[in-house]
Amino acid sequence: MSKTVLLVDDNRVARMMLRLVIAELRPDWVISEAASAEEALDIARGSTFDVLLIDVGLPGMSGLDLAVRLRETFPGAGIAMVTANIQKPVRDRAAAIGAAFIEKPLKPDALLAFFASLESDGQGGNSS
Amino acid sequence: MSVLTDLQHDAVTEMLNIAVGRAASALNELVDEEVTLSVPRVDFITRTEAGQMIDERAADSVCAVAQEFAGQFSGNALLIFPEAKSLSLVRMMIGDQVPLEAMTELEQEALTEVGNIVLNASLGTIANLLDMQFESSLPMFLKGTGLGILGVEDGQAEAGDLALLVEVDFQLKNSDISGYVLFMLDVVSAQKFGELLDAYLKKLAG
Repeated sequence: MSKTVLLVDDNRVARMMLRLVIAELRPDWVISEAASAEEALDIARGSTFDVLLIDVGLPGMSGLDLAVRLRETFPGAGIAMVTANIQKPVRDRAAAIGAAFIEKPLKPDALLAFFASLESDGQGGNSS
Repeated sequence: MSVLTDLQHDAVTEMLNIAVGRAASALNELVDEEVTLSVPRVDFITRTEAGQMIDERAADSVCAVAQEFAGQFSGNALLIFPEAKSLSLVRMMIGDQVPLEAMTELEQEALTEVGNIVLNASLGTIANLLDMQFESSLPMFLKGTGLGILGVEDGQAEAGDLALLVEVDFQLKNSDISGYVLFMLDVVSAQKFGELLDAYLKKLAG
């Protein structure tokens, strides 16, 4: 089933790379993009998302704080932090929020495993 | 310069070896090309000397991605490309479907993302090994002279202050792209780094 995805990363090339991989793995998914947490919150007000892929290092509000906010808005969504910041405390915070942790550079297999986990728990449906 | 003991000097070299090795592996995944690395060079020099060193190695202005980090010790991390051969790097990252003129426009963002990944991989590895955390600024793209990039020209940094400089050179095997990673720590931070390494070595020794 087609899902709606929101990518949040301040770097346009990072968003392009992520979009390419998603389009290859799940061609029917509908992808939206935001360049900051504030923009993501704006977009989230008017739409529903099943999958949220969020960079940690964002200008203004951090990706982790954004994930907490979006978790409240979309309780059923699958959230993954996609980040180059591989420090253990960052991983721990992601886990505490209930977000997956996907390292940059992105390995398609890591994203595929995350998508598969959403599809098998029946998470990420349009339930919010 | 006796800011670091011989053992600490070796420990800094080895830790940066591991950290930049991790960064090289990230770069290798990003561009799907083998990355060769030099042995880290560890030295105490002034910021002015560091800026001059950057300029001596470049034909023209250099491109750099810089990140400030702060934690139990603080400093600057820089990824420097002495020559702007980055278009092939952009192509390796986002493929051929983007027209050339768009690629030129994306060059700076592509280099910034490479810097983000390489510098975070290095800093994150050091933080994880020493069981500490760095807060780091967002990666910043800079273009200019070595002195300008290090903030010496505009008086942001103390030109004469000694700093611990760690340099690792890297080379992409087939595409003729090379560059280096620099870490600069002031003397107080270098001493703190040394102390944390002592504790780490003691733990290793059991």
